[in-house]
Formats: sequence, C-alpha cells, structure tokens
Amino acid sequence: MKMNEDARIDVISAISDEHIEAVTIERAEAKRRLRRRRITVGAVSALAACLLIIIQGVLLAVLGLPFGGRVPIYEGMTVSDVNPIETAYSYGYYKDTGADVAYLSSAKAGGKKPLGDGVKEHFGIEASELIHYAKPNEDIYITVKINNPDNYEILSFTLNGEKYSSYMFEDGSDMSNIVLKVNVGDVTGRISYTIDAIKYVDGDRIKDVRMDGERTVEIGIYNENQPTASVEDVNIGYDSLSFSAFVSDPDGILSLTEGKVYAVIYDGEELVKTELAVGIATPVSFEGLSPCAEYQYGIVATYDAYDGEGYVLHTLYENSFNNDPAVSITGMTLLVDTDTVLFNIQQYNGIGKLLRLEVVNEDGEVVQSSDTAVKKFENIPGGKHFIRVIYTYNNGTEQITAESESEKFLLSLDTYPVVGYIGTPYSESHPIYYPNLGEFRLHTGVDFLPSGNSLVYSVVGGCVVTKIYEEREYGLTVEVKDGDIGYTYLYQSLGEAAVKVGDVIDRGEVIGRVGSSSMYETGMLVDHLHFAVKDSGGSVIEPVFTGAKSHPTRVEKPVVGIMVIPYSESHPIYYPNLGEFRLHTGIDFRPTNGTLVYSVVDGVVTDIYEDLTYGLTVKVEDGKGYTYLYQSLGEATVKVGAIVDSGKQIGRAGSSSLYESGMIGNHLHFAVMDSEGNMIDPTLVIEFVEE
Amino acid sequence: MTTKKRAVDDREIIELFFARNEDAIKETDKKYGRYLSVIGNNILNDRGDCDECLNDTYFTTWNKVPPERPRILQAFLSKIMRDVSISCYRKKRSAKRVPAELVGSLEELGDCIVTEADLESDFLIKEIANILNSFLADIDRRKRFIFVCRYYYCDSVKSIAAMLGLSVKTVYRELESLRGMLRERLEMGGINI
Repeated sequence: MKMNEDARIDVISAISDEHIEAVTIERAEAKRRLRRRRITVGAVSALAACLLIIIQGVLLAVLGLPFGGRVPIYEGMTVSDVNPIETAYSYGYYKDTGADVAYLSSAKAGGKKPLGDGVKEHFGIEASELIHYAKPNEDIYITVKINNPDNYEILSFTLNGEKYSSYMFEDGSDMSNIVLKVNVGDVTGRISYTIDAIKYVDGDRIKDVRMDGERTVEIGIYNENQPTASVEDVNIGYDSLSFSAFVSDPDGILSLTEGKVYAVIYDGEELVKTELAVGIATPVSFEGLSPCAEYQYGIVATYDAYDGEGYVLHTLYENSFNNDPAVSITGMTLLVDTDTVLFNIQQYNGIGKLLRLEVVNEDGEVVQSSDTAVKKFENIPGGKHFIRVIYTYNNGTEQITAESESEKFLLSLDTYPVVGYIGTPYSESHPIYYPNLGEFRLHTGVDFLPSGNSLVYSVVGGCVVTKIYEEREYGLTVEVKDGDIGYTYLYQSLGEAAVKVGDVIDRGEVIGRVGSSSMYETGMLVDHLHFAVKDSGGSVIEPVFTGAKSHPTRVEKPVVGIMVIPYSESHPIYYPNLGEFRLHTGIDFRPTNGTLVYSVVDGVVTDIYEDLTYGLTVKVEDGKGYTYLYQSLGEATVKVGAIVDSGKQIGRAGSSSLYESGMIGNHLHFAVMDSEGNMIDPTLVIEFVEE
Repeated sequence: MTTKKRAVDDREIIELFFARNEDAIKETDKKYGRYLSVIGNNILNDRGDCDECLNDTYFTTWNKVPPERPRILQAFLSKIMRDVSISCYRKKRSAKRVPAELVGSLEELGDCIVTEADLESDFLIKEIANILNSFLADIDRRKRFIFVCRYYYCDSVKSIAAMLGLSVKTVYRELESLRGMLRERLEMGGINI
C-alpha cells in the first residue's frame, strides 16, 4: 500500500541538513559550471545545429528517413526454463525460443505405457496447443520482445499488476529482448502472466510502448498427485470379461483439463471403451469376446497432466489375458502301464465343431490322430506329448478354425540319458545288496552303464537346472526341473557337471559325464550314471522307458539297399546252414544297386580277416569305443591302418558268411561291438537315415 | 570607466540580517532569487505562486535570522523556500493544473516508500526518515547528489543529467537503482512493504 503523498513529502523533508547542505553546495557549483559550458558551447552548437538541419534535410529529401524516433512496439512474450540470452551466448549460438508461445520440454511425470499405439488411434486425440510447463516453485524466464529500432531505454513493465524496473531485468537483456526471472510459486494447475504496460524513456519524458502482441502467456504447473486407477474382482470367461474399476483423482486434475476416463478392452484391432466415473467403484462388463484370443484391457484417461506432453492419453491400469478357447482338453488321466492317456473334451455353450484330435510330440510331430471325439489315446510312445484339438466355430461374423492344446504329459521316456545300457534297474520292491554299506537297500533309480562316450544327456527338453550338489549317497548330482510336467530328474554319481544352475536344457543336451562319485555304489559298478525321477509332489517314481535307446548317430546305410534281417537279441532266427536257431547279433543288408559297401562312420581300419562265422570282415574302430564289423564281404577295398571317412567305400557285399550263405544271396552282415567286445544292437548307436 | 560592484558574500548578507538592515532582503534576492525560484517552480509550476512563495521565504528568513545564524546560507534559504512551496502546493493541489516535477518525483518514490502500516503515523514517518538518512550516508557522492536533487529539490532528470554531464538514460537508471536499494534498506529496517 502506498503512503499518501503528504507522508512521502514529510519523509523527504526530513532529510538531514548535513545531506542538504552538501548537495546544495555541489548543486550550485554544478550549475555554475553548466552556465559557463553553455556559453562556450552555445556558439558552437548554433553552428552545429545549422549543419544538422541541413544534413537532416538532405537525408529526408534523398533517403526519406524520418526525423525523430519510432515508437517501440511490444510484439509478444516467450517463456523458457533457462535464460535464453545467457544460454545462447555461453554456447555460441542463438537459441530461437520460438514464437509468442514457446514450448520447451520439462521434466516428465512418468507413468505406464499405454495399451499400444492402436489404442491411441481409437481415441483420435488431436495435437493440443502446447503451453509452457513447469514444476511448483520453479523459476521460469519470461522474455519480452519489443520492436525497438531506435533503441529507446525501456524503463519498466508491469506483469500481473507488479511493476518490474530495469534493474530487475536479467543479465543479457537489451532494449529489444527483456528477460525477467519469475518463480511460479507453490501452485499447481494452469496459471497465466499478463503484461499490462511497458514504459520507455524518450528524452525527458516517460512514454508507453505500443502493445501489439499477445499479452498473456499460460503455464501449466505439474501436480504430483496424478489420477490413479485400480481393478478388482476380475472374471474372465470364454467370451466375456468383467471387473470392478475405481478411479481416484483427489486434486481434480481430470476436471481441470476436461479430461475423461474409460475402461477399455482391445484385441489388437478393435477397441471397446466405456466411460467411467471418478471416485466410485464402477462395475465393468465386456461381452461377445472371441474365444481363444489374446486381449489387453485396462483403464485409460485423456487429459493434460501438465508434464510437458500436452493433452494425451494416459494409461492408469493395464493387463492382458488369453480367454478360454471354445473347445478345450480337460481332465487328463495318464495310465503309465498301458501308455494310455484319458481325457475329456469341453465345449463352451455347445459352440465349436470338432474337426480332429492329435497327439503331438516334443518335436511337433503328430504321432496319433483321430477325427472323432475319442476320449483316449493308447500306445503313446515315450517322451513328452500333448493333445491338440482342431475345431471350427462361428464368431458371429464368420467361421473360424481354431485349435487349443492340452498341457504336456509324459507317460514314459524314450531316450536313455547315456549311450549305453541299464546296469541296475529301478527296484522299489526288491532290495539289492550294497557291499559298500554291507546291507540291502531299495534301488530307487536306474543305473546306466556307458558303452561309448562318457557323456550324460538330458532325457527331455524344456527343463531348467535347479541344483548342482554333492549328495552323500549318490555323489555329484545335477537336478533338472521339467516345467511342463512338474517332474524333477536327478543325474547322479557324475564325474563332472557340464551345466550350471539356471541353464535351460533341451532334450539330448549334455548334462555332464558319468563317474563313480556315489558312495553307495562305488566299486559295485564302474563309472556309471544313477538316474532318478521325482514327481511334482517330490516323491521318487520309477522312470519308465518305452522303446528307449541311447542317443544314436544319424548315418547313411552301409549299402544302397534294404535291411532284410534286423538285429534280434530276443528272438532267434533259424539258420538252415547250421540247422539251428541262433540269435542274430547284427543287421543284414541286401544291396539293390551294385554291391558296394561304405563305412557308416569316420574311423580306422584296424583289421581285415576271415571270420569263421561271418566270412570276410573289415573291422573299423571309431575311436569312441565302438567297433563296426562289415562282414560277409565278397571283397575288401581298404587296407589295415587306412583312415576312412563316413561314406568311403571299404568293400563289396558277398556271400562269404558261413551262417548265412544261401539264405539271402549277396549281402552285408553289419555288426557293432562295444568297448567290452560285446555285440550290441547297432541302432542303439547309429540311426540309419532314409535315402 | 564603469565600476562593477563586487557581489556580496553570504557572511555579509547574514550580518545585514543581524543589523536588521533591509538591504539583507535585497541582496538575498539579488544573489539567490533566481535560484530559489527554480526550487519553487519545480514544486509549483506556477509563476505567481512561485513569487508568492519567494516573498514568504524572505519574510521567514527575516524572522529567523537572528537568532539563527545559518551555516550555509544557500542551503538555509533552499530549505525555507522548499517548505513554503510545499505548503502552498498542499493548499492548492486540488486545483487542476499542469503537474510540476514534484508530482513526478513523488510518484517515483511510490515504488520504494510503501508500507501497510498506519499512514498518518508520525512515528512511522520518522522511522522511514531515519532509514533514509542512513541510506544517504552510505551511498556515494554522485548517487546522493542525484537522489537529493531529484526528490528534495525536484530537479528534472534532464537538468540533473546536464549538471553531471551524463545521459538522461543513465540518470533514470541510477534513480531506478537507488529506489531499489532504498526499498531493500527499508525492508531490512523492518518497514513492512
């Protein structure tokens, strides 16, 4: 509040005599000097004035330059969060702060990512006019732009009723760009600054600048108390979604910028939205969804958060789900002994027409199928499988073909964890004697003896290594969890682990090497693997192997021909030459195109000899513990010591076998020995690929 | 040959007053009449009122001296002339007239001499005056000269600039700065703005 005029007069009148006297003397002296100067200058000035008049006249006549000054014109204001003039000079370039309403980025509020760009497009929000943004108590710089060609002294200006004199202008200000630092204060929401008047000095008079530009700028002040949303009681059906939504906006930010809030559901193409009220729990329901589809849903709001982004879409809550399929497989029951799986087919509201049921293995191959609504599949091979149901349904617009899959299941294992044999089987009912312990104990696992390399392989894929430790009884152990089935596989008595905890293991991947680290079994067996399985409840179960074999090497057949007599260790065949039944410990191939015999693997020819039983024999060792015998040859085309690659010719088929001569004509008797010299089923070690 | 009479110095004029010689007024008018008229005109901007105030000034001086013996006669006379002119201004300011420099200078002072307190309080006026005098003692000679010339003598900015050999802009800037400094000093002195 201003003191009245009299009070101000009284204040000034109370200036002490000391000051008055001092100034009076100086003032008198100054006036005397001025008089003397004026007398001297007067004559010169008169002459100069004449000359000036002549010059001005010339300028006016020739160039049309006017006399006198041009009134400064206010053109507008810009707002920034740094002193634009200081910034320009310190970086050596001019930073254009833009037109009347400038926008520079401010700190952003953060927040969740919206439900994809597709959601924004559905709201069709147009680019809003941006104002400057700031935080509470932040300093901003207002630059007043004046067209002031004659560089008049700008004395002051009034902003929001407050007068700002020239000494309050920021460093770097000049008479065309006046920078003022203002603190926005402890406020939130939208505030404005209005220039009322600008004064300048013309000679000894104070005049008003002409006001042409926009006089008001608006600032959005960010409020940390942004709207939030929560969702409860979510219920997902095969064609519906329902939940209770609650939106909180304690500081009324939504209403401040005419914002709206919606519950939305989005399938990647179409969006359905419903407007929500603020401050009350609102039930939301979306129906008519497509079964077996992926949806995103959430709560979004359109408003200006005064965070520098303008009026945009904000995501307050988001989630996604895959709703139930129209047809699904439920209630699976596994009958391990019969390799059979029982199940039910569930159809929602009777929609969906069944096309086909399939049993699919881990490699994606269909191992069994049916086009009727069967409730079981039998003789499931070893390994992990799942049931796939393929069906059609009408979504109200068109007929859709869809499929859904059951959970994966495992009836038996089809692969040994080693290249070798079962040494000691699982025995839950008949204890075996442990000499190391001097007592009988149940054998709750399967011991495997390697017959080739010492590697241990994962029996199934989709597993994670969960533990590696030294178990007191069974030594070095790698525990692997099957995420599909819930089983845990224990590879024990290892000599070495080749994985680490957290590794994701595929079927056939190397786990480690066999060893003799088991305290129970050391000395009973040479290096071996103790393999155990626990179910999802942690109980040890018997590992069941169906048609299992060690990991074979895929090779081409040793002849261009067909297999005529397979390996048979259990069913002897009759040898007319011998007049008796014998086991056939090899594979007979009859060539159909020429008689050439090829090596199936890389190796070294270690012997060529006449076998009493199987005739001319070429012996090839692969260096991994296996010996390949090419027998009943008519001719050997390699020499002992030769290094052969797989596919290299080593001889010709013949009928030199005493046992088989005359039985099948020219043929190759192909056999494999393990490192102990035992004849083994060749298909345990190699797998013949079809030509 | 013409003999130019020597100007009477201040000491002699004062002795004339003490001797109750009416030549005192004549010599005072001769030496300071024009000077005092400028002060009056700065406040009143009216020739007639100015002459009236000048006569009142001489009358007041005649009554004051003796017993007072002015240390600096010019300052003594300036103060009286100013006070008389201010009184005249107060009586006649309601009448519409072209405002004098006084009005402009008082308006400028409105930037810095502001308060929420009781406007009629002599104590407050005295408080502010004390702070003002302390302020004037602390600033440099040139700043003090500018302040007193502008707000006590109500000299125009142009004449102040001419006396100091500065530009008008420079003087305006100085005045702005001085008002800002005074404002801060008043705030520090506990005068609520």
